[in-house]
Amino acid sequence: MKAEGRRRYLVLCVHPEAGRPEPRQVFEEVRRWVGRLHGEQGLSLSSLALASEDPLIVRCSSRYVDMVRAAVAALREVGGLACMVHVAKASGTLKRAMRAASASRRGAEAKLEGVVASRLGPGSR
Amino acid sequence: MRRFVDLHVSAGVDLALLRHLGWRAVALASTTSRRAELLRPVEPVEGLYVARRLNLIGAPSRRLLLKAGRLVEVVAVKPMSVEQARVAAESGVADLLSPPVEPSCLNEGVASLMASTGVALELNLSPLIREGCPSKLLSQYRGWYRLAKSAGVEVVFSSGASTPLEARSPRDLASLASLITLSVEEAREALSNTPWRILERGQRRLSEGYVMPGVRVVEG
Repeated sequence: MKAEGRRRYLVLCVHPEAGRPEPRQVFEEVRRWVGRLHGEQGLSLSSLALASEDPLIVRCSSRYVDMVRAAVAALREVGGLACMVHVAKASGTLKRAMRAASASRRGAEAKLEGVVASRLGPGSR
Repeated sequence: MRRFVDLHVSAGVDLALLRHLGWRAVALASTTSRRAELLRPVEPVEGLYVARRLNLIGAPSRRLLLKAGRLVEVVAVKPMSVEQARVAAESGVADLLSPPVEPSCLNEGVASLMASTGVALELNLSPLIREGCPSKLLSQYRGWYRLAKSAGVEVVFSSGASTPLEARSPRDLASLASLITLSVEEAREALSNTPWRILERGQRRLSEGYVMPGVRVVEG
């Protein structure tokens, strides 16, 4: 594959205030923000597409990853629901992105569980 | 590997979440100069260095700035006019000058004073995110960035997060900051090495035997 045709798969992690927004809605919001920050030309150059809904993975051109990351950082709500979205992992193949997404989810859950358990004290679980 | 540092986070943001996002060090902001509140211990999170930061608004006296510098790693001043910005920049005791969006109080004179005393410019990205990255604000930030860079002032970006929903991943924030710097590499530098140097300077200041920059007691 030529260098300019290379793709990047971004694993998105969504932290909503309440509820759970639809993955497609999150993707549409990211797309809207890329268009807002970089215009229609930026949107077409980034070749942004939804690669997987669960886990949420978007595909884009490797040269324009930062455009997509900037849009992700600017995003504040999805479908009227306040939330924070971040790129948990960027990978060159969908297979590796899938693997990273499941590892990242397990790791994050374990870490956050550890914090909650230590706050509640021993024997809280 | 880069060590990303966020020099402006409020105490309401979960530290475990910040570590999960990829930060290696954060400075928890406080607006009180009361010793007990400033030095209140925080629960440690593995892999995350937590520093303390004091936000001073207006034109603090040199005595207050010196006192603050002996208590916390990062002292930031938010001036409300050009005169106040000049006083803070001239003191050389503050680590960061964090200009508010309105009124604008950064000009060539202030930037040149900051360069001579080693005070860094902090650009807080939370107003940019909150207001939806309007072009007017972006160009104002870009103007400040260019002014600081041309005068030789160090620039740091910070998230200014006051709630968990305002926290951002460092690499995403660097991409957003690249809309200001027009270079992702420069934005990453302003979120990693530059704030890390400021933090190290603050740690040295708090260490035993410190007298002034470059001078410390090694034998009593």
